[in-house]
Amino acid sequence: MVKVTHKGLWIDFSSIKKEHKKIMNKSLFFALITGFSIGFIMSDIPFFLMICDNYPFLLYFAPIVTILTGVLTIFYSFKFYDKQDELYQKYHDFTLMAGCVGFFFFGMILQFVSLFSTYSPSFMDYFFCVLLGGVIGQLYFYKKYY
Amino acid sequence: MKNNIKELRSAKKISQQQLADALLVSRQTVNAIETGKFDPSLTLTIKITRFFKKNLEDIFKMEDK
Repeated sequence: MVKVTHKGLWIDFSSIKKEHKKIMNKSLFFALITGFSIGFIMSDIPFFLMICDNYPFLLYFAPIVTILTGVLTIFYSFKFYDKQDELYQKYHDFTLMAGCVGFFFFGMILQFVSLFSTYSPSFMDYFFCVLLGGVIGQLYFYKKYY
Repeated sequence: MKNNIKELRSAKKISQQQLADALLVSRQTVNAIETGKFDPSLTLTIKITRFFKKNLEDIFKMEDK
């Protein structure tokens, strides 16, 4: 079973059972491909479209790969989640919930700031809001339950 | 919710890790239950009572608020 370490911010990979490690590795592999393909499409759209001029199949292929690998990532991560004990499941749920709260709380602050300045929040800014919320949630959960 | 898992475990002379392995949970979960930080689910509660061969009330005690 997963051992949560570093005040709730990390997990001890060696504590995971061999068969669960296989599932987690599959999940991480598909997450890597999903992240890469999302990054490829989103990082610089003109760059992506320029490549698609030479390789038109990419225009359809890249989003399909992203969706497929995304679904597989979710499937394997839920399979992994399902095989862990209830304290870890609670930790996992709490992290996701804290991420959502972080998105709304810090996202609203960013929106408020943007009203009075030329700054406009981008995708990455909101992503960091989720990350910050998740980290605060993990620290809180570890302090309360571990 | 209070419990006397620590005493029962000591009486059986088993470690938290051994109990965790028997219940198919992590040692951290056993520790969290023992210290009263985490209330186990019904499934895990039944597993604990079966492991110690005791009734629910013999292990867990509800605190009056």
